[in-house]
Amino acid sequence: MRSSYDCVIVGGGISGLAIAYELAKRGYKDVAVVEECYLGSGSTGRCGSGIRAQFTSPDQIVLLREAEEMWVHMSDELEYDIHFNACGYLFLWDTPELVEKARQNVAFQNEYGIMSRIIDRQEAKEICPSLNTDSFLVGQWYDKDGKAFPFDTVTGYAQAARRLGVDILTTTHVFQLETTPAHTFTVHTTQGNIETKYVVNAAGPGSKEIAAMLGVDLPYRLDKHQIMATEPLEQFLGPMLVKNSLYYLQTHRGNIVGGTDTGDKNAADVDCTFEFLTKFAREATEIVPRLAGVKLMRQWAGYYVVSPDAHPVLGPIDEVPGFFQANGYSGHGFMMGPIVGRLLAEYIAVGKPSIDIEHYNFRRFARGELLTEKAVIG
Amino acid sequence: MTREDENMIACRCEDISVQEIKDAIHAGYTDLQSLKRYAKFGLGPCQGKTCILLAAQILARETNRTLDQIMTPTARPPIDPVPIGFFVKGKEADDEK
Repeated sequence: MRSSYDCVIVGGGISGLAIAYELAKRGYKDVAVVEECYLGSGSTGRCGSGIRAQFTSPDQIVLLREAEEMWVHMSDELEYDIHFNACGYLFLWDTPELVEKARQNVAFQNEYGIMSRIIDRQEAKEICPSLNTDSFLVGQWYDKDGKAFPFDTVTGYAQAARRLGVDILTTTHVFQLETTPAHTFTVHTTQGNIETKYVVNAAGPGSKEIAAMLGVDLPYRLDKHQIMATEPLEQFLGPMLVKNSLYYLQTHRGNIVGGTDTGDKNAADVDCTFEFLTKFAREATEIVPRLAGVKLMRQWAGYYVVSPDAHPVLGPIDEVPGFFQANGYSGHGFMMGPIVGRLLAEYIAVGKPSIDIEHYNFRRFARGELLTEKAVIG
Repeated sequence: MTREDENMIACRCEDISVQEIKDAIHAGYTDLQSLKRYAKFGLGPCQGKTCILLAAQILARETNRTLDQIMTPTARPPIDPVPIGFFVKGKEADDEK
C-alpha cells in the first residue's frame, strides 16, 4: 500500500473489482481497492449467482442486455474460468392476471431486443424435465439469461486487476473520509491514510455508512434475503426457475442454490431462520417435486441494498466532486457487475460513459425523478 | 511432511489434496475464508467438519502462525444435511406430535 493513489475504491466485491480492472485496462493503473474483510465477503459472495435481462424497466434492460454480452466473454477476458453459463431463466406464472402481465413484459422486453417469450407447459417441461406442470399456467423464457460463479468471478477480476498493477488491500477498514482544500480526499484506513483524487463507493451494504462520511445521505433500506445450497447432484435442472419470490438454479458444481423472500425489511442482522427453510421447501417442491429427497446442506443470508426505486445509484455526486457511487442494486449487483465496472471506469478515466447513465444519478431522488422496476425476485 | 503426505486428500467431499491447499496458500490465499473459497474445500456434505481444522493447521504452519490466529469460517446450519421434504411440513410436523 502506498500513501497516495489517483483512485481509491471502497469495497472488494464484484463492483469494486470490476471498476478497478476496467480502469487499469484503460491505462489508469494508480488504483487501490480497499476491502474491510476478504474479497467477495459481502453481497457478492452471498448472492444467488443469476444473470438476467428480463426486467420491466427500460433502464435495467439496457444495462443488463449489455452486461450479458460481456458475461459471455468474461472467462476469456479475465483469463480465468468464471463458469458463466447461459442456462436461461424460466419464470412460471400461475394466475390469469400474472399471465397477462407476463405477456406485457415479454412484448416490452422484445422491443429492446430481449427476445423472451411465453411458452406453454409442454415446452417448459422440455426445457426443465423435472417440472410439475400442474404448478403453473405458462412459462416466460429467455435463453440468453444465465449464471456465473461469484467467487470465481471475484478471483478472476482480482487477479486480472493485480496483473495490471492495481493494489488490492483486504481486512482494511475505512473509518473516515475527508475532503481536502486541494479538492482531493483523505481516506483514513486501519492500515494508514491514503490521499486520492477520486473515491468510489462500492461498499454494498456499507455504502450508506461510507457516503455519510462525506455528508451524503443515500436513501437505502437493508433487507435480509435468505438462501440455501443443497448437496451436489448430477446436472439435471437446466434453467434458473423463478416463481413469485422463489428462485433457484443448479450451479456448475451441481448444488441447487436458491431462496425465497421472507419479508425481512430493515433487517439488523443476516442470521438465518427455520421459517425460511419451511417456506422455501414448500415452494421449491411444488414446482419440482423430486427436490423433496435432495438434502439441504447449508443456509445463509445477505442484504439487498434497496433504493426507493429499486435501481442502483451510479455516477458522481454533484455536491462532492470526485466521489462516485456504484451501489444500491436492490438485489441485482452481481449480474450488473461487468457493465457497472466498464461504465464507472469510463466516467473516471474518460469523463463520459459509453451508455448514458445520468438518470441513475443520486440527484434523481431530490428531483423526484424515480425510475420504475417491478421485477425484483427473492 | 513427505511427498506422499502431500498427495493425501484433505477434503474428502470435494477431493482436495494437501498439495492443492498448499498451492493455494502460496498463491496468496492466506486467510482461511478466502482459501476455502478459492481451493474449494469444506463446502461438501460434511460441511468442513473433517477438513477445515486440517486446512487451518496447514495454513498456520505454512504462514508461521498459531491456530488461534486463524479466523475460522462461519458454521452454517443445518449441522448435518437434511432432505428438503422434511422442511415442507416444518412446524406442522412438530405440532402433530
